[in-house]
Amino acid sequence: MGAAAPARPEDRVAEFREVFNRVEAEVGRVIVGHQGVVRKVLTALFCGGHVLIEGVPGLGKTLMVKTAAEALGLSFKRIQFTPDLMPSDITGTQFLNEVDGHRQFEFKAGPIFAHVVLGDEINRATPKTQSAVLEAMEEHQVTIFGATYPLAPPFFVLATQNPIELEGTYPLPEAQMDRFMFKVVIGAPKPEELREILHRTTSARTYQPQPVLDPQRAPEAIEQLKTLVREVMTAEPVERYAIGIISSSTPGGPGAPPEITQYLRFGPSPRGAQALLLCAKVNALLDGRVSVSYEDIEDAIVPALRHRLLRNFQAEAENITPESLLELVLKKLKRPR
Amino acid sequence: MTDPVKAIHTVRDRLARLAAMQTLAAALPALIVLTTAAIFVRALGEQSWKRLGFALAPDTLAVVQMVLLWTAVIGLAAAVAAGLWFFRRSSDPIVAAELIDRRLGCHQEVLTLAALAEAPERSPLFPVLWRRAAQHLDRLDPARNFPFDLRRTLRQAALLTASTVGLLIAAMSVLLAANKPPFAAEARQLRKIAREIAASSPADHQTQQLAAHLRAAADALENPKVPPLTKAEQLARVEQELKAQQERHQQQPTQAGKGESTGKANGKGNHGQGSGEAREAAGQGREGAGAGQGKGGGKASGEDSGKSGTGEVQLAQARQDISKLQARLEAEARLKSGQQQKSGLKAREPRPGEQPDLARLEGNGNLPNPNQPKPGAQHNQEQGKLQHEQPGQPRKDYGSSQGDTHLGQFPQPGNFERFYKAGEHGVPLDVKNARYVLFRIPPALISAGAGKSVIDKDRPSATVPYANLPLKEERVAAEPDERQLIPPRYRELLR
Repeated sequence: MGAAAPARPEDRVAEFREVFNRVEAEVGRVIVGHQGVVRKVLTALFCGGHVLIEGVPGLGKTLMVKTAAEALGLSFKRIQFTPDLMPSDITGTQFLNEVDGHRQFEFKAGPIFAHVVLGDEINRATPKTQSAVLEAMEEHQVTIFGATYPLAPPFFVLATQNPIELEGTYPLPEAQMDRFMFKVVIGAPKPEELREILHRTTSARTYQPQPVLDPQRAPEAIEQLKTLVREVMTAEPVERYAIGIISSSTPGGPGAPPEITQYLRFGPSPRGAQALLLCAKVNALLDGRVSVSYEDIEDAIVPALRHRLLRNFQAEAENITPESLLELVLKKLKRPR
Repeated sequence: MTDPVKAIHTVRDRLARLAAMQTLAAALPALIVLTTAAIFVRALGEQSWKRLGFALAPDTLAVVQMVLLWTAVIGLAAAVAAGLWFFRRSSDPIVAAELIDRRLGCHQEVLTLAALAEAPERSPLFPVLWRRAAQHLDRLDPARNFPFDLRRTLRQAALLTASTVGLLIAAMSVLLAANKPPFAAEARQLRKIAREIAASSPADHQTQQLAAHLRAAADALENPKVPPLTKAEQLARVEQELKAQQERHQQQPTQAGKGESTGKANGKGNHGQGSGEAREAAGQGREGAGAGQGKGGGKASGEDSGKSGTGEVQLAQARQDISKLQARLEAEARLKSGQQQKSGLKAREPRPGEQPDLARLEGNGNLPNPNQPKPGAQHNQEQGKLQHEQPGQPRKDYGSSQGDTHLGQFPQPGNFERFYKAGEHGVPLDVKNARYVLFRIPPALISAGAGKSVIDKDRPSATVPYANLPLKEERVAAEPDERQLIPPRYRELLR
């Protein structure tokens, strides 16, 4: 598909839907189930955000990201985080090279220099190494020995973390968790899905995903689609609704239910509101609309805010999940009239 | 294609009109109820008097009528104000767009268009939004999509009207209960006694007539239009009838006893024993158990006496109640006459240190000083003596150097008085701060049947002996800060 911008806005919207749906379908040919996760991953990609995927090993996280990158025609790198992984192993380093009798430093780019980067088990690396990735996520550039190297857009990081075997890990601090647009949780497949997985993976039949976008022009096309997402309009009452959700999720905030104050230490940051609205805009485009509705906002609440709610000891002791608190907020918050 | 902005404004205007109309329509029935109640409040008062025995004074009814009318006027003004408020609130295109979205299921597209239609910087996607909103609004028929919500209006009107009626009923009940006749409880008691008297001898014409008179007296007692003295007279007549009936009852057992004695003297079989049982039954008449083990005439006499004993209890009870009522009615009559004499001075319970009749004299402007010798003191003394000798006249000994410690007439009894029946142990009277205590001694001991006198051992009695000794002379150095009214007999001592 060409990257030239269509003249008519309707065509741009239609193209967005087509690209999104085709990539989704292409990933669906490889990954069984997890349609919601795939949709959120692609949503974050078109919003310019990053995704933290949480799930036990063996659920196809790496395969899903790799397939999505291939379907989008983007470059893909995978980094396996370990305790002895150094920042330079990710960002790259300068090494001394001799060319024609002259010694000079040359920059060797690390795996971070890719469009789609999968940081596998990011919580196993030391905070120093984690910070190197997280800085690149925020700044879209890395600085090595005083030299700054920009990362080619689109830059999309998917980090995974294992909710079990936490011994010897370095859980991501809340400030760094906040830099991920979504946190999606991959659950175990259903029996029917598991049967389909067995058929696909244990037979001679294999499927190689086909790129939806031309790999040469894919980055530019994706950037245009990202621009389209930001052009989606939002009415003031809808914005107030999103703000109300953020306020209600903040302990002591206006309209916050007592349970929020009881069980949370901190609520979502403004990044949470941004994630909420951007995700809602993608939802609107996927529905063929160019304006955000209340339903679009509500659909984005859990993935955008669940990792931004910092629970207190009481909530953890009583096994109060952020998802249940967000459902409570949604139930108690009325749409503006 | 419909112009979305124009369509939104059309809907906005319609919604504003509908909001105002629905508000006024919801308030209208309640206002009609209020106005109707104001018009017919007097008729309602009369009906309540006829049916329930309650009545409101005409001036109170006039006040109620005015209150109702003003409430209706204020309610109308409030309804108009609310209608205007709803009109203004619904005149918002954003609100109209929100309602259109909800009605047509547009996912806030019309709302976004209305919100961003006049934005200085528009998104490149705005034309798409415009066209999509126009497509949605093509399906819009304001009259069909936003009709006059009759059901909601009726529900609101019913709620408001029911609340108004409930409030009216509650207010009228409170007013009527507050203006309940003062003798309602006593009249009820008299009616109860009348029923019991009538039931004690259903065949006796005189007893039935007495019960009817008692009921008529109870009716008159409740009627505020009947003057207190008339009530008292009616009660006095009934009391006379009761007394006569009681005497008649008392004579019957005696005659029965005489008849049985005759039977015994004649030595005719078993009648003598029957007479004895009859007397015993008459003696136990309070319990109403005629133990008729006697034979023949003796048995019959015993049963009759048992019934008559039961009737006597009611008669005695009725006489007691009537006596109390008469006292109250007389007091009320005196109070009313006193109020009329005082021409507006409100009677109230005297407080410690006050003289109830002093205010009356002050009101007349001729306050005598009892501590100062008056020129005509001798004349007054003689006049006072003369007045003392006149029976039925109140004593007037203002300024007299003779007489006792009270310096005027006895105060008129007020609503603070309390009478106890003989043998009744009620709440102890607190006479600590009372200036006068009136004791009403019953004219005759009323014995219910042939009761037995027992010594009341629970009666409180003094444990420390005391005697009326002269007061110890004490002088207070401080000057009195108010004029003391010194009883004449202590004036010499205090000087």
